[in-house]
Amino acid sequence: MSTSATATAFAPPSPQQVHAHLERYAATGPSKVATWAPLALLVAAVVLAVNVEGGALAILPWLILLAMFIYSGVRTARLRTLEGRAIYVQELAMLRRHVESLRLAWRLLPSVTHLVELHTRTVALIGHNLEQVQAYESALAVLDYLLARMPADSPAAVQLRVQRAIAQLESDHLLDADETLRRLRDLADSQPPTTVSALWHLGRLLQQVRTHHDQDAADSAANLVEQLRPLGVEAGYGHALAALAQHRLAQRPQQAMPAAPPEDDDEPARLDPQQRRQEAALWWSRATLLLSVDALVDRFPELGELKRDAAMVATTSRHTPKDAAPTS
Amino acid sequence: MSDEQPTTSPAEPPSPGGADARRAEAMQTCPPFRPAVLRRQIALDSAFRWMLLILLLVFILVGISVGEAGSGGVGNAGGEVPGSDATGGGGSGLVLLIVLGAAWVWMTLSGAKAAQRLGVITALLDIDPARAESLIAQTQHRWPLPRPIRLLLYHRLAVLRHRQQQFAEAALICRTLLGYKLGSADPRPGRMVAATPTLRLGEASGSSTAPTSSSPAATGAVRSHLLLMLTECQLAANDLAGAYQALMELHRGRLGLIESLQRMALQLRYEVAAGHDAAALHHLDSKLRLAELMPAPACGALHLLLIAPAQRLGRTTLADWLHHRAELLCTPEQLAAQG
Repeated sequence: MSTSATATAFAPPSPQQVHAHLERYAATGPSKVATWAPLALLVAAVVLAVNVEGGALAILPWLILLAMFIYSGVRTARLRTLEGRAIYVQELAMLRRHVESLRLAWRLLPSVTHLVELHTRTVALIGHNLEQVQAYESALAVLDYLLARMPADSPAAVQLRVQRAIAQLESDHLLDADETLRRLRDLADSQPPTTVSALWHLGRLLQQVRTHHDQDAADSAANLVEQLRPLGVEAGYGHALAALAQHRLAQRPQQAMPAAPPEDDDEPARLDPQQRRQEAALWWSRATLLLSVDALVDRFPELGELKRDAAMVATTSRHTPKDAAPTS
Repeated sequence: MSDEQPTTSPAEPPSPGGADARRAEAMQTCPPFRPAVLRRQIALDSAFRWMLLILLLVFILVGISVGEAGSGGVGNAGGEVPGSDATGGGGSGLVLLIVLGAAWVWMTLSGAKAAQRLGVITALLDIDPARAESLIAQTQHRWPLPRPIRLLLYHRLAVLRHRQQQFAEAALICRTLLGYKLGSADPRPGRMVAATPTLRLGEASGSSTAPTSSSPAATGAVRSHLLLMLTECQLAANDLAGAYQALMELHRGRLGLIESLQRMALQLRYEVAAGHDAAALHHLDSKLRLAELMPAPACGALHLLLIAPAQRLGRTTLADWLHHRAELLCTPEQLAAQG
């Protein structure tokens, strides 16, 4: 990871650097020597205890046992330290201090190659942080690395595949993302909605907005609040994308006609531009109730279109309480 | 010890001849928790360990004394462990060594099996509570068990009772376990974070973050978890004084992020229940920022909780704002329960 001379400057690692780091510090599992050495020493101690004659050598088995005891204690302490560091990295990521978290995870990786579970967690954290600092190509390298090492149908793998699809959309790999989202279509009907299904809906919405299928995005937004709810405040990103789709539809010349009734029951009602604007305002107010406008635009720059629109500005909610100051 | 024996669950109706019937027959439930039973089990475990230790010391001392008595100097045939004593004590010394070794192996295996089951129990707590209880009932009666394993087993029982909303029994188990030394009372931050690869990190702040390890370090984290459960049980029983005491205990230790979030949620519940509305809304901005790290239902529940104090203090704008946010965050069931 390259950093400049100043402590605050930060440049995320390139995909090549990520590849090299992951290959160099791949999980090796516990060393055979470390696994079998205690048993071998124990056997040696027993053999010595039974066979060795003589006062000085008689204490050797006990010294071996003492050394084993100390070694075991040191090893446990080291494991605890590494576990503590991994937890700290995870907490930093939760607190959205992604740059610090990424730095520490990057440095932690060489120390945990012999601990497969901790290694996987650390790599997953590196991937998560890379996504959050918008280094999507590098994040894709990490996600591919993880996916290659876990069963394809495991819940964690499914979640990673959805995350990868979103990262692909962010880095303009639209075809790959489309294929992944299609393969995971079953997630669309998850009842009750889960975090993974919510991520899938967010990914699909992003795909529709990025490929300018705004009508599809608007049509599929009927249950969006429920579908995205498991994401918590991050559902605001989805609401903002829905607002953008409606906003774009309201701007289109062919939409400047009165609303037409749907031709069959399953087809959503076509809205006129005024209704589109109202819908866009509703979704935007929901989005900004959960997340700040800056956070929304930072993640999806195309939302700047809404930020600059005067009508949208008027409907922007406060994502922090208006009168949160203490009453005293 | 008949009062401690697990009982077969009457709740499962047998289906003739099927695997379900056999499973129902095999299912056991834990008897109501009694602190005296836990005390006795721990005393018996300790007695076994001490007995082994004392025998080992005796063996060593006898070996040394026999060696000294029989040796004229270094290199004499008698100057080592009793196993090589030519007087005939050697054979019995070796037998004693083998017996001690076997007892040690038995204790270790018993502990290892229980530790292995502990992991299974933790995984089953959410998906099959009846099976988890049955495993706890079976494992509780193993003897001897290492003390941390025994305490963690009862911790899992407390978690189970807490989830079954049997708050009185859960509180009793928590209080009893807190009376024992549970390792470091000041675990490193975030020790409660589940030890699985957490790919979407917000999930880690769910309510099911029971310590997954059976290591002594994990028993340190258990203390905080017990205090959190105890606080919630006491709030459920409307025992505000007890909840206050538990919260004070939680404030004395250093907590990880997840535990801090849980403590904040419990403290808010306490403040709202006790009518400390201004305290509940104090530093609301930072409280809500922390709440946003929780999963959506927990975050929404916190918003719902804060509506009442905002209304009581006449801050209707704030109450409306909280309500609108809660509508986006809470499940329909949560909103329906709130009315």
